[in-house]
Amino acid sequence: MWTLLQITVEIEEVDGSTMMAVIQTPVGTLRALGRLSIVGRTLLIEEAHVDGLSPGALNRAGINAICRKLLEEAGVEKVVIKGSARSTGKNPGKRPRPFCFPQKR
Amino acid sequence: MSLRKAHETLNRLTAGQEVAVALHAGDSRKFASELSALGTQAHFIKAPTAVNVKKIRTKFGISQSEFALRFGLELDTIQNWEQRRYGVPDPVAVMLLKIIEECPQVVEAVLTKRSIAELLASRSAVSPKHFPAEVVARGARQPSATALSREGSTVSLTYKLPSIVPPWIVALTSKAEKRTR
Repeated sequence: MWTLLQITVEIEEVDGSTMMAVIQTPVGTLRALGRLSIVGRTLLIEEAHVDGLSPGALNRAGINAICRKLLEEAGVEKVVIKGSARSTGKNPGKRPRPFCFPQKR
Repeated sequence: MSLRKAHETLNRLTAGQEVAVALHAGDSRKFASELSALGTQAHFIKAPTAVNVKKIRTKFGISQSEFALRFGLELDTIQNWEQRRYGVPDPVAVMLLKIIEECPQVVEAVLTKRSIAELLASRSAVSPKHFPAEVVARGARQPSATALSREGSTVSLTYKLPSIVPPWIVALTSKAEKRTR
């Protein structure tokens, strides 16, 4: 399990609500692009695109660790990531299901 | 390109759309190759800047007046362009003339309010063997009685077809055939 100190999030570029972030993790560097907004206590990331790591390099535990870091950085209680249509991986051209952290139980 | 525009472009590309963007790249071929490696095909748009109107018209083998009539233009304009009386055609006119040169059926389809498929289908039904006739064009002379001969229930006429038969000439020819039956 990664600690929050092992992950850094840097906002590289901002244009209105569209942001490009560089996320450093123990398995490599991830670049994420999306439209960010805070709705209540939820960080909403829409039309998200990610690049930088090979498929499967970031498992569910890694994604959870990044989301915990985002909760800390943004001061929110929940993160919802809505990806844009896939360009690679499973079902290219289809939108993935929204990702929520913490997961709904 | 702004980040927001780049994001919007990426969204549209991953959704399978085609997007026209203005990008600055030193080596266009290398840039296209890099995009191709990312699964994106790039086609560079370059608007035509010059056109030879007389060369286009003579390719059809028709007069200035017929060229103007066929493509919805003014005769004076065609003459001015060919004689370069007032400079060269403007960029929009250059684009239209290039379309006439490369795909005249597109312009004809728009002017005659027919689909391109319908246009091509009507032409494939016309063959010199089926319609040996003097072309009946607006303002042109009508076939004289000596040019017509009646053989049984059909009338045969002699004619020369231009390399591309405009739809209105085909229509007139069909009407002439129907009248003589």
